[in-house]
Amino acid sequence: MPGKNEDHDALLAQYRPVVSFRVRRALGGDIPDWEDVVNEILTQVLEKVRNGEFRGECSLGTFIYTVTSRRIVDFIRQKTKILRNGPEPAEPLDPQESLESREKSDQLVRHIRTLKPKYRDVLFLFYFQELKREEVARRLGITPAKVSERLHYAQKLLRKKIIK
Amino acid sequence: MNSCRFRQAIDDYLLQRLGEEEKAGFEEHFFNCRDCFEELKAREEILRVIKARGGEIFTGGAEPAGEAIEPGRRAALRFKPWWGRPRSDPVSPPAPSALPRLHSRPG
Repeated sequence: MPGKNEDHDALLAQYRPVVSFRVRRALGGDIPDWEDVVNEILTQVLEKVRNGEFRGECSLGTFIYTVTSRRIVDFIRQKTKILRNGPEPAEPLDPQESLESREKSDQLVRHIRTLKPKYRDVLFLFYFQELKREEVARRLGITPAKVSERLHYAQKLLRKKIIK
Repeated sequence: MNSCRFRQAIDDYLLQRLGEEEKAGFEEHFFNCRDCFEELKAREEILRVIKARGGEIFTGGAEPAGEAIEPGRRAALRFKPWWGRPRSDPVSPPAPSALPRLHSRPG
């Protein structure tokens, strides 16, 4: 049934970014197999949906989250076994992709540097030095609520510039 | 604007400050909440760049020309990355006259 297949394609397209994010964060984006793991998860989800294993007892997002988490645990177990028998050589990164991501990161660096000092200060203390909100507030002599406000505003400005 | 109650958890998640249970709860949430996921992705990118290139952003002449840093701000941001610290002066031996005489004889 073409209609059903289209639904399934849409489903995969919708959840691919969030599954990719979770997998990259758990396994590290520089390992060559992360995309294979994402594809396996999405295929597994599709099979389970087709077989009626997803019965709507939880949301579809939660169902996909569970499948993703299990696969990540399995992958880490497998990798640990392989690493015990000697590490695999890492494949080189795609040069085109690294160029694009370098350009994007250069752009972000430029944008952060043009922010007003009061916004740069909170980004520096909160993200770079990893100080807690209260400590940032104490250092800058402002309230923790003000820190949140400045962080939020700085992020908003940066997002606007990234989208442009 | 996203007014989701999980919004506060985004930075804690990225900075790895959540316990196992909270972390799993937040992960399950962003599989279900598009707004939080979009926000999470954007902040992750900002954090990644700041962590990777913070030295360049915050110490490599980040101040626009002519912008004065008031003393309080300087103290709040006191940060000397190891690559920017001046090497301490080698310890030179004190002049003999400055040394206390250990076995001084009276008279």
